[in-house]
Formats: sequence, C-alpha cells, structure tokens
Amino acid sequence: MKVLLLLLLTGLVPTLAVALEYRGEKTIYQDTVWQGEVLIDGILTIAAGATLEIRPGTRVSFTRRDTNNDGIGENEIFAQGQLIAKGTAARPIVFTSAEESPQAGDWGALNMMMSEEGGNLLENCVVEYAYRGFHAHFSNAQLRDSLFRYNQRAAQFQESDVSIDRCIFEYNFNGLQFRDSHVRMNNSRVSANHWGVRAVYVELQMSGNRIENNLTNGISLRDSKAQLRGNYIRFNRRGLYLQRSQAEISLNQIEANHEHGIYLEESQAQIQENQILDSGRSGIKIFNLTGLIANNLILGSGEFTFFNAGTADFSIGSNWYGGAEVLPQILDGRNRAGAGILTVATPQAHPPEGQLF
Amino acid sequence: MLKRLLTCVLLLLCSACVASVQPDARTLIGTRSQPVELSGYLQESLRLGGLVRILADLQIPKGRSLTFLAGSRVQILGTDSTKIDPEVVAKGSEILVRGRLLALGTPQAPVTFILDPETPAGENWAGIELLAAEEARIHYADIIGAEIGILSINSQVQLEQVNLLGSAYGLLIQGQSQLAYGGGRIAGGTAGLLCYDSGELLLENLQIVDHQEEGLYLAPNCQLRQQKVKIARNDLGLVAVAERGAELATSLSANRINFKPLPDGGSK
Repeated sequence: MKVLLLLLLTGLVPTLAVALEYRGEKTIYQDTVWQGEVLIDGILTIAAGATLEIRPGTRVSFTRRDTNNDGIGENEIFAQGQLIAKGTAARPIVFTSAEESPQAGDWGALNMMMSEEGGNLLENCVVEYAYRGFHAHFSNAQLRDSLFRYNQRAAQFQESDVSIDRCIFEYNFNGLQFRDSHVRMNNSRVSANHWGVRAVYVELQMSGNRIENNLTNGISLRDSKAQLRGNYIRFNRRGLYLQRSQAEISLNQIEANHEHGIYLEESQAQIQENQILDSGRSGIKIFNLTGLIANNLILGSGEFTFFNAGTADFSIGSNWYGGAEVLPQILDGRNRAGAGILTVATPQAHPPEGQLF
Repeated sequence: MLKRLLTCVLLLLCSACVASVQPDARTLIGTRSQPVELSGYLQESLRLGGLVRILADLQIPKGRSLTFLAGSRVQILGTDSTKIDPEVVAKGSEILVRGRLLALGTPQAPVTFILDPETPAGENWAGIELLAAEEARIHYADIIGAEIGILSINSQVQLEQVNLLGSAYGLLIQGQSQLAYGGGRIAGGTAGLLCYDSGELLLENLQIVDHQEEGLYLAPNCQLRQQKVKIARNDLGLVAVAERGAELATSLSANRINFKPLPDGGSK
C-alpha cells in the first residue's frame, strides 16, 4: 500500500479516471487509464509518448458536432501516442454515439496518426455510429474479436500495418477500405455493407473470412498483392474483383454472387482448388489475365463458366464442371469481336481433391 | 391494364412529389459564361436551369431536393476526388441522392446529363445513385456515358421518356427498388438493365438495344410487368428464368442469343 501511494505521488503509475468528460479540444499528455463512463464532447488527442488504456466494460460516448453541415460528426479520439482498448468477451468496451437517436457518422473516428510505436490494440470492442470506426495513417494496429457496426466506414487506413482477427464488420455503409498498407485478416466476417473489402496498393493476406451480402463487391483490390485462402465469399454483387493485381486464390468458396464470382482485369493470378458456385453472370470473367486456373469446382454459373472480355488469349487448366463429360460454357473471341481465345483443358474425371473450404 | 397500372403509379408518385417539392427552393439559371457550379453536400434545396456544372461528387442529403428545370444541361466533371461520403459506384464523380432528385424535361426541352468536356483524359462520371432516396423522378432526359447511368438501391424511381445512352451499365436495380419506366431507350453500353435482389419493374414503351453483353438481366426474384418492350441487337437479349423467356419472347429480336435461361435451381 505504501509502495502504491509512493508510486502515485511520484507519477509512476497511470492516472485512473472514472466518469470522465472531455469537452472541447483536449490532450492527454501522460499515461491514462479509463474505466466506467467516458463522454467525449470535442476532440481528444493522445499525445505522442502517452498511452491511453481502456479497461473492460468501459463505455465511451461521443456527442455529435457537425460544424460544416456535411452530415459527418467531428468529435473523435486522435491518437498520436498509443491506444490500448482491451475488453473481454463478457465486458466489451463500447465506443458509441451519445445521441438519443444515433446514426452512422455521429462522431468522427478512433483516429491513429503516426502511431507506430508499440502498436495500438482494439480487443473485444464494439465500435458503432462513427464516420470511420477505425482510422489510421502511418500506424500499427491490431483489431481482435471486435464488432464494427452502423458506421459510415467501419475501418479505413493507409500507410499502416494492421492485423485483424475474429472481427465482425456488419451493417456499415462501407466495410473496410485501405491503401498502401500491409494487412492480415483472418477468421472475420464482413457482411451487409455496401462495399465489403476495398483496397489499393496493399499487400493483403486473408484466410477463413466470410465476406457476404455486400451490395457492391465482396472484395475489390487494385494494384495489390494478395493471398486469399479459405474464405467464404457469397451473395455480393461481385464476389472478388481484382484490377492490375497479383493474387493467389485458393480453397475459397465463392458462391451465389449476383454478377461474376471472380473478375480479374489485367492481373496475374493463381486460382486453384476453389469452389465457384451459382454466380449470377460468369463464374470467372477475365480481362487480359496471366496465370493459372485449375483444379477448381465451377458449377451453376448463370451465363458462362468463363468469359474472356480482354484481347489476350488464355489457357484454362483442368477443372471440374459437374461431370467428366460436362464442358464449361465459354464466351470468348469465337463469338465476341476482338476478344481473345480461351483454350480449355479436358475436364477432370472427378471433383478436385483437397481440403475445400 | 398495364398502361392503367403504370399511369396510376406515375400519378401516385407525381402527387407525392408535388407535395414534396420545397416551394422556397432558390432558382438559379446558369449560362455558358456563368454556369451554376455545384459539388459536395447540397446545403439547400435548389431549382436549377441552363448550364449546370457538377465539379466533383455531389450528394443530395435527406430533406433536400435538387430540381433540374426543362432544358438544363448538366455537365459532370469526371474526377477521382472524393467530396462526399460515402462514395458508391466508382472513382468518378457521382450524383448521390438520399433526398429528392427531379429532372423535369419536356419534349421540346429535355434535360441532359453528360460528361463535362474539361474532364481529364481517363476519367469519367460515375452516374446517378439513389440510396433509399426520398424521391427520384426524371422526365424527358438523356443520361449519357456514365459508369452506371442510374443505380437504384432501395428506392422508387420514376422515369418517363428517359434515354440512357453509352453507359457501361444503363440501369442497375438492387435491394427492394421499384422502377416505373415509361418510354425511352437504353442503348450502346456494356449492359442495359440489370435487376438483382428483389426489385419490381414496370416497363412500357422501352427499347433496350445495342449492348456488348446483356440487354436485360433479371435475377429470379425480380418482378416484371411490361408492355411494348423491345430488346434487340445485344449480345444476350434476355437473361432470366425460363418463364420470363416465354413472357418476353415477342420482345426479343436480332440479339446474338435472344434468351439465355438462368440455371434452374443452381448447383444444388
């Protein structure tokens, strides 16, 4: 007890705050711990070198302030230091709107800027009614076991290193969008947003995720490198859309997307051991693709199994189309002026082996 | 019967919008030398005529209305900037409607939506996007060269004598949208009219022609009532479940494949 008192007096343990209110522009300069109810009625900055630790069960509420009348709330946490929000499954930390009738965009963001030292953590958190739930520039962060819902954009970041595990992004306007970042995303769900996952200039690893019921595309990547393995991508407008990207796409189940299961433009891809089922238009549409399409199971495509919209020819490896005698339906230069020719290897005699999703 | 139904729907929509147009909205008329210029969030309801330039993304929020008067020429500058949130269709400039959009052209003075000639090479405009819009009523208009001419998500859309020309997708219907389209043409794009999810379409005196891919795509849950629809010179005229093929058989002509039925029951 004497030691604790001494530490408190000398400022060596963090300040413990209960029932806090921050109004206007405030800055936390020293390590601080939150527990209980916290109200943010302004912009709260965590200064470089300081850490804000938020304990389980804490509820952080943001008032709505929209000075430029653009429909987007501006109150937020702006972390240049470190943000550690570690709840538990039973006692999550909630970041939410303080408004009586909350709506997406009531508050700004959990904003991380140049916050690379030590890394930021959101674990067992609920983030709702923000403009950007999680937002980062030049930062490192881990998102684990957290729920992002009812935000304009659940997560948006650039020039950052982010790992996402077992999170849910649902009922946001847009799910995740990021650029110039390294991202690992595993065992998470992105559902019922307009855009699902949308990224440019990134290196992305995704495995074991469910990307479903997004109104636009499930996953859209441009000028990126990706390894997509064992994901479940279904009921989106397009399942997977790659532009000028390199990708390994394996062991995914890509099912019942309204348009194309996979659409690849000017990309290089290895597409193997996937199930591509019930695509509304084409199973796989390509536009000047290089790479490999083999050992996949492709069934039930609404229009064509393969559609070559580009000028380059492409050789499709051996896949399973529902029977040893069943051939894929193809749209290519033989019936589309200016398009390249698709040559197709003999279908496999049996469904592909391997551990499909 | 269908004509009567379409008329009823149009009248109902019209009566709703007459009440909804804000009478105190300012009226601005642009000229070649002094066009009206807009971007970002519409801060007040407006009635616009003459030359209107939309210089970046534009959003009409709930509770506000934007009316284009007869003869308006709306030039959208294609840019990669994001001036509103959320941006929906593509990287190009978009007109995002959560409130009310009215384009009140006449046979003598239609409204035109077209890419601004000062657009940098390689850029385009995304289109008109209706997101649970309070109202969308477009009469006698040409919508030209967008990524998606009109994207309707959970909205009611009334189009009368509207031409959707040279857009990648002419019209894309998603969610629980309702479309009443009386007269006009969807032509010269990648695909004409695509209906996913469970939209309800009421089409009359409509031509869907000259598309590189589908003319009309109807997902199994889309509802269709139609009269005097012509679907011609597309790669695939109609893609839909089998009964739609029979229903629209006389509408289909000179497509590479007039009717491509969707698989019955899918892979299951």
